[in-house]
Amino acid sequence: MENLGMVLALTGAALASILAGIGSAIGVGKAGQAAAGVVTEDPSKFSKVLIMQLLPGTQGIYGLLIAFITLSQIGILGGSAESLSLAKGLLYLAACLPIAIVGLLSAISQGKAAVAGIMMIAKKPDQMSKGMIFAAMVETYAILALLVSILAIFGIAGLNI
Amino acid sequence: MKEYTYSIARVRAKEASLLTKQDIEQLISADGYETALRFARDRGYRSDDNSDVTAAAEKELWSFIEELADEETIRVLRLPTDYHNIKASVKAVFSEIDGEDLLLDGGTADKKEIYMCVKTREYKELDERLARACEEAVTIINRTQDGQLCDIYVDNAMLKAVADAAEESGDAFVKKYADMLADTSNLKTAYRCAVSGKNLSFTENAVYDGGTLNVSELERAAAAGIDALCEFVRPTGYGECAEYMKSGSAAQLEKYCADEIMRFMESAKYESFSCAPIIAYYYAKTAEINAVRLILSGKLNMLGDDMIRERVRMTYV
Repeated sequence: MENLGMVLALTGAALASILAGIGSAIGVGKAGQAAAGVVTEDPSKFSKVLIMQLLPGTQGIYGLLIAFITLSQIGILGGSAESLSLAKGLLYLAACLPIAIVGLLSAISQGKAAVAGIMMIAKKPDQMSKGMIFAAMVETYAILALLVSILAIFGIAGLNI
Repeated sequence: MKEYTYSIARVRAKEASLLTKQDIEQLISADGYETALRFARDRGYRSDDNSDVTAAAEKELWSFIEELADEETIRVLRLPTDYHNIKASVKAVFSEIDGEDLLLDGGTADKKEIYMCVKTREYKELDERLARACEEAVTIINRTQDGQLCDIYVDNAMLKAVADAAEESGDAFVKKYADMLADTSNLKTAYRCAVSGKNLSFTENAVYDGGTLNVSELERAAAAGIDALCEFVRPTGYGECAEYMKSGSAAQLEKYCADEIMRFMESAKYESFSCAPIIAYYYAKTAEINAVRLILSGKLNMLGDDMIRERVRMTYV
């Protein structure tokens, strides 16, 4: 069981990319349905609704970023993996959780806001920037979670436990 | 819960091309039929074969709605057409005229099927409920020769069918719509009963037993006369119509009822995920088509602008 620390750290990295990825997939999917609906009636709005559709996609990228950093910190990326203490492994897992959980939920919520924004563009194309701001507000919380995860992961590296 | 995101986005895009109040006003004040028709054509009312532009718009609306939602959801929209077709068929068959022009498309059953069933008195082709309604309507006419009684029966059967379909759909918006349909219909029926001095037993038969109003009190009030009816209506959510009842304006009461449903439909404007915007769009577009039809036929018959304006109902945008 001396490798349990490594297992836990890797689980954290996996969770960050899995949960945030699922959230973004749901959000972008929902927004995509709405975007397709608008383009069915008015193909000229493609570029406008495409931007809105992409907004919930960022959480997946944040999850990927955290997973990458974690993998390189524990040495799996780069091939210099050494054994990791159980405590350190648990700390990495905990550090990955903010972006994993907040990423999942905020991407779904942002998807809904993006859907509403796309419908607003359908009726009032000149109000597009406002629709983007409404959806982008949700992003704040994904960024906060990303920040906490990054700070925690870099902090753990220096710990001697 | 069913997914309507794609459909609602299409509805929102379409809503942008609904006629606004200013458009309707412009249409009303157009200088003659040709100008009004040209304006309507510019705003999307076209037909391939130069036939009735509003009929073409209705057809287009149905094919759009059919693409958006499953049959279960749009059943409440189709049912009134079925029952209209029953009434029209019964009247056409019994007065021995060719009634095909009176029938409407867009019901759950084919309009010709309903007509043939009434004509041949063979109802096997129809679903059980419609068959029962047809049979009963024919029996009533046979027994009493009274078109009004037949209409009352069919209208109430329609309201019941809509209420049941709404209940089945489980959607709060659809249920509220069914309730409003029953309430407004009951108000109109009660008003007509009160004006023509019908007794309580007739009123009880005429008023539909459903909706949000207290039906037995409504019936008693209607049988007691207009003043009692106004007193009953005032504290309800439909208080405003007491004024129209008192002033004896049936046209304004009709308009009030239609506008009241339209105001309810407007609540769907801010809804992004349920089926409400689809129902609301159907209702809004139908109201618009009816307004355009009314204005065009008014213009064709050289009616004055004010006379037309008085009859045009509220639009959605």
